Amino acid sequence: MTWIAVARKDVRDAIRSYWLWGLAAVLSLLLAIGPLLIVGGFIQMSQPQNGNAVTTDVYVQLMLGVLSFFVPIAAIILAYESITGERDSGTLKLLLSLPHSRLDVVVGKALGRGAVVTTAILIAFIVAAVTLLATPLEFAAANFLGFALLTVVLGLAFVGLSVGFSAAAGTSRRAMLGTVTMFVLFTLIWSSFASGLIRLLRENTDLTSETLVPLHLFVKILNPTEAYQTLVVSLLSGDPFFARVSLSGGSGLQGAINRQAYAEALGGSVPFYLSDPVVALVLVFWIVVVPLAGYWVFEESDL
Amino acid sequence: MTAIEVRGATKRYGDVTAVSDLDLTVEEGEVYGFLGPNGAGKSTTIDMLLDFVRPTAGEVTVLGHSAREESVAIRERAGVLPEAFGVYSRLTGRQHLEFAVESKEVDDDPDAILERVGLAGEEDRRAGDYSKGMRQRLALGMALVGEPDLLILDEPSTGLDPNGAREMRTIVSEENERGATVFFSSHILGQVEAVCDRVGILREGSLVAEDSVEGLREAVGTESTLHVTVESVDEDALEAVRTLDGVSRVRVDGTTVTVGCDDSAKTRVIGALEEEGTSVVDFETQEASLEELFVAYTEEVDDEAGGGEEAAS
Repeated sequence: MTWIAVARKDVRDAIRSYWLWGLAAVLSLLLAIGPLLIVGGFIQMSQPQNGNAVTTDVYVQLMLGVLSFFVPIAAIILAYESITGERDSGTLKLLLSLPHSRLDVVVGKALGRGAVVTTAILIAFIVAAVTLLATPLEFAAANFLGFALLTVVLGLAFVGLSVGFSAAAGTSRRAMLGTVTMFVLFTLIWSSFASGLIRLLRENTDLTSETLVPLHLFVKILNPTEAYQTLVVSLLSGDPFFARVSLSGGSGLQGAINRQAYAEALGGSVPFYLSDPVVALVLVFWIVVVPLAGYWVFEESDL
Repeated sequence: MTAIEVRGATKRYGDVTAVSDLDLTVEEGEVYGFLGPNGAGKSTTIDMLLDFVRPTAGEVTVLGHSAREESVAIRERAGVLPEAFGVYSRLTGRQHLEFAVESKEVDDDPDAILERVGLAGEEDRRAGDYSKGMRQRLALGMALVGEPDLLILDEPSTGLDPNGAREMRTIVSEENERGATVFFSSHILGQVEAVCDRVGILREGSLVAEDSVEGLREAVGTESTLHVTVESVDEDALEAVRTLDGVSRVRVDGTTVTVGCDDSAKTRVIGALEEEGTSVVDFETQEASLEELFVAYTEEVDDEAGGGEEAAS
């Protein structure tokens, strides 16, 4: 296995192309704006509970939605061309003239781009931490660190997805079409798709809420961005049950009613297949399985 | 052991057959020139050796390994200069060599190889700024990493000036002397003639001829051209030459008599001229150029029956 050589070359190339630094700068800017908004009073802070000071958890809640949108975009832009780009420029022939298997290429690319996205996200979080330390917010270090790591995992999931599509697609244009479709599916369509599916089942079958509610939640956590969000909520609240029930959606009073209904249907406890480890496994699935599926297509194709 | 063994390989792209039932054997230690016009299927054949494309039918074995199943094992022992490749435009020449060294898990000195392929002084430039010829040298350098047992070079002279092409041939000879088998393709015969032990000529996906350079020449049976410089031209003498066995044409240009004849008739031509009282000042023979022979093999699309007979004789 020579994937380490492929990965190292890929990282070297990303550093020389300023991809790494550009990505880190954009994400840093994004993450540094949050504290400024909070301090500037543009965001209404939640009231301190039990007399405790307001912590950086407020910041995490604020950034959660922003990052679920921008981190996938950054990862896609970084990785969708990882293999098709080499195909288009002819460097893939140079690469495969050396003793690398096609699996080495896919694994090396996933690791290389994964390393770049990880580094960029961690740099941005360090910048954010420094900025946050300058605010009156109490720094909740464990939650902040957990948030950073889960964001890295989200980035890796979309790098995996993009590398997988890049391996399978014949051209960069097709790879971009595929990854952008997946992004739109996850950010705009998945939620409606999940509720539509449940509504259809509710109207046309005898299935009760006891079956439909966990099914709905399970379909939702298959979406990597929702999996990420619910894990972060679980981290902040320390309450996986609350985190899963919150996936029911809706805001304000409607949200509260939904949560209540879902909590009752679940019978007060999180089933195994909706537990935090399983949700984490879904993210791992996107990181590992999609590139391997892409490799499988790549392996069968002529260059 | 044979270095390359292709048995009945066919590659079709939809309705187009790029390579058709090809048999090819390259022995260990030889320099094999793989010739043919553009589009004859040379690159497709090389792509099958490297598992870049998969044959529709047939078996391909390189260095004793199946090209389809054990491609990495093949590429661990083969140095490859692919066709129509690109370089990593942001990485320097040295970084390319370092990558090849790292990939082949050897400890060659990148600078020494860069010097050998004529890129000394250019190591730290981005390969994106290299000319076509320099990129070709760079890829050749990458192929040389790790003292490969087999060199597979697809159109190695592409983009090289005559000097560069000669340097490339020198490297091919050096590598062969070291013990490497060399398989290289070209659409220009002049590039392979000097260095090849054997050549194979590919046309429309099939091997139409395979032999040593001398053997090919004999197989085609082309004649020599004799240029004789005389003091004065005499019609009787010319007539005597014309009637000789094996003489096909006689032409006069000033004091130079040009005679097209079989190799064996050359001495009789000189003898006949002198017998008729014409004094010969000088003469030289010119063998049929291999280029003509190559053209004979590859440009007979409109005259297939004639081509078949010629190859068979």
